[in-house]
Amino acid sequence: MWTGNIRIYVTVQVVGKTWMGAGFCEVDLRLITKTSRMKLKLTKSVALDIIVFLFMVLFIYAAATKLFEYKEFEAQIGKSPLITKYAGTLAWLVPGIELITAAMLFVPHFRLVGLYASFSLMFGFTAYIIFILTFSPYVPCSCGGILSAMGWTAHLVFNIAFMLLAVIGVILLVTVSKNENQVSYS
Amino acid sequence: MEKKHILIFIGCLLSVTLVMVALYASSPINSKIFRANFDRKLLPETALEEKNAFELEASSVYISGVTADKIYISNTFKPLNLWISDYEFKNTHDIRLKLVGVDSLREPSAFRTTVDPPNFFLSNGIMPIAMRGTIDSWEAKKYMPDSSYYFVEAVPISTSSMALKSYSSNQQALHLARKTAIDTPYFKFKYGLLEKQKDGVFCVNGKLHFSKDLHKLIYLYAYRNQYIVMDTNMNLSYRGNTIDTFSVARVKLTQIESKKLTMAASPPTVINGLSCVSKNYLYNQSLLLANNEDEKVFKKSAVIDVYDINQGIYVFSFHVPKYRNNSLSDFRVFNNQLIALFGRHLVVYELNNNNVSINEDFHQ
Repeated sequence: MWTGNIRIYVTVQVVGKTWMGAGFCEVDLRLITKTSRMKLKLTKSVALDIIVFLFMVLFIYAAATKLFEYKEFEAQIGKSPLITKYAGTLAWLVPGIELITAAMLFVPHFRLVGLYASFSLMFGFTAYIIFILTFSPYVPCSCGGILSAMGWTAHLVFNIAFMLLAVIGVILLVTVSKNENQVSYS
Repeated sequence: MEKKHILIFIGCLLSVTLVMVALYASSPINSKIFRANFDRKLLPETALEEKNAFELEASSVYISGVTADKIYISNTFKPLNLWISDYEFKNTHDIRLKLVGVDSLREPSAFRTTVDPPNFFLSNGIMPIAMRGTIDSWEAKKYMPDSSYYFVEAVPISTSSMALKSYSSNQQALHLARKTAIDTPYFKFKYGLLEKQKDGVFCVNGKLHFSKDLHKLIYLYAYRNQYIVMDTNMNLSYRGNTIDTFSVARVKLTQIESKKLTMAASPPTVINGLSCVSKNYLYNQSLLLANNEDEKVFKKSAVIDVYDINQGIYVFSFHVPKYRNNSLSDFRVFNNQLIALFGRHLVVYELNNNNVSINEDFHQ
C-alpha cells in the first residue's frame, strides 16, 4: 500500500508542475497563436479529467466497501469514541455523501460543486484522523477494503494529498472554462 | 484564483471544522467522567513511596513473576527471553529459555511465561501448548498429555494440573476448564462457573488468578462487578462482588453473518482492568470513578481496589500515579512492595505500613 501512496503523491507533484508551467506560459504566450493556446487548454483539461476520475474511483470504491460490509462498518465506527452516538446514521450517510459527490463529479454542470464537496470530505476525514490521534484514549480502526491496510499516518498523508488535488482541480476547472469563454469571444 | 473561490474554500474548511467541533463537543471523550455510585476507602497519597525505578529496553513487556528478592520480566514479542533483577536493579541479567521437544513456534506472541520458583511455566493457547521446567536449567518440557483444545488463558495450579479459560464449541461460549496430567479425562470443561449474560464470549471475559497461599483460584470479570472464587478442583467456593454496581456487562455486540463473526460495536466499557493476587488479597485496577474520589487524581493515576478473598470483602483502595506520563501496564504485589510497569518503566514502590493496620481492623 505504501508504494501506492508514493505513486499518488508523485501524481500530485506532476499535476502541480504541469499546472504551474501552464499558468506561467499563459502570461508569456498571450500573443501567440490560437493553436498553442488550444494545446495548453488540452493539457489542463486532461489533468482535470484525471483528478475528477481519481476522486470518482476513490469515492465509489470507499462507498462500496462501506455498504457491502455495512454492519461491520457500523460496528467499527461505533467503537470510535468521537462518533459512537451517531454510528447508525453515519454508516449510511457517509457512503451516501460519497456516492452523491461522485455523481456530481460525473455531471459537467455540477463538477465544480463536486470538487468543493470532495475537498470538504477529504478535509473532514483528515480532521477526523487528527482528532482520533490526538484526543482518543485508544485508536479504533474504521475503514474498509484496501484503505484499511494503511496506517493512520499514511492515511493522513493520503488525505492531504487528495485535498491538494481538489484545490488544483478547482483551479483547473475555473481556468479551463475561462479559456473556453475567451476562445469563443475572440 | 479568484477571490470568490478562495472564499468558498475557506467556507468549506470552516463548516467542516464546525461539524467536527460539534461531534467532539457531544462525544464521550469530552463528557465528564461518569461517577459511579459507591465510595472508596482511599489511602493517602503518601501511602505509596517510590523506591527504585529502571528503564527497560522494550515497552512490550509484562511481569512474569515476583519473589521476595527477584523480579522476572518477559517480552511479548521475544517469548524465550527473560529478564531477571533484584529490587534495587543492581544485579540484572538475561536468560534464554529452552523449549525441549518443540520444533517450531506458532504465534510466538501468544506465549505467556509465569515464573514461580523453583518452577516456571510457559503456555501458548493458539498452538496450543503448556510447558514446565525448573529455574535451575531454564529448560521447559511438555508435562501434560496433548489435547486439541485451544485456550485463552492458562494458570498452573499444581505440578500436575492447571486451570484454563477456553472456548467451548459445544456451548458456543467461553468457559473455565481444568486440565490434569494424571486423571482422565485430562481436559474437562467446568460449565456453570462463567455465567453468560449476552454472547458468552465478550460478556464473560476476565482474568484468571491463582493464590498459592489460599489454594484458591480467582476469576475476575472484566465487564461486571463480580469475581468467582474456586478451590483447586475448580468447584465454586463463592461469588464475590466488587464495590461498584455494574452487575450486567455493558457490551454492545453485532453479528456479521457474512464472516460468521461477533464483534463489539461500542467503545469498550471495561470496569476491571489489570489485576493480581497476593496472599489473601485481590488487587483490582478499577476503571470507575467513585463518589468520593477526586476526578483530577483519577485521570492522572490508576486506582486499585483491594479485596480480602478469605472473607469476600473490600478492604481499601490506593492510587498509582502515571509514571512519566505512562499509564500503568502491569503490576504485582509482594508483601508491602508494589512492582509496577508503565510501558518500559519498571518501578518498585513501598505500600505504607499503615495499610496493615487497616487490614487488621477488618479482620477483627
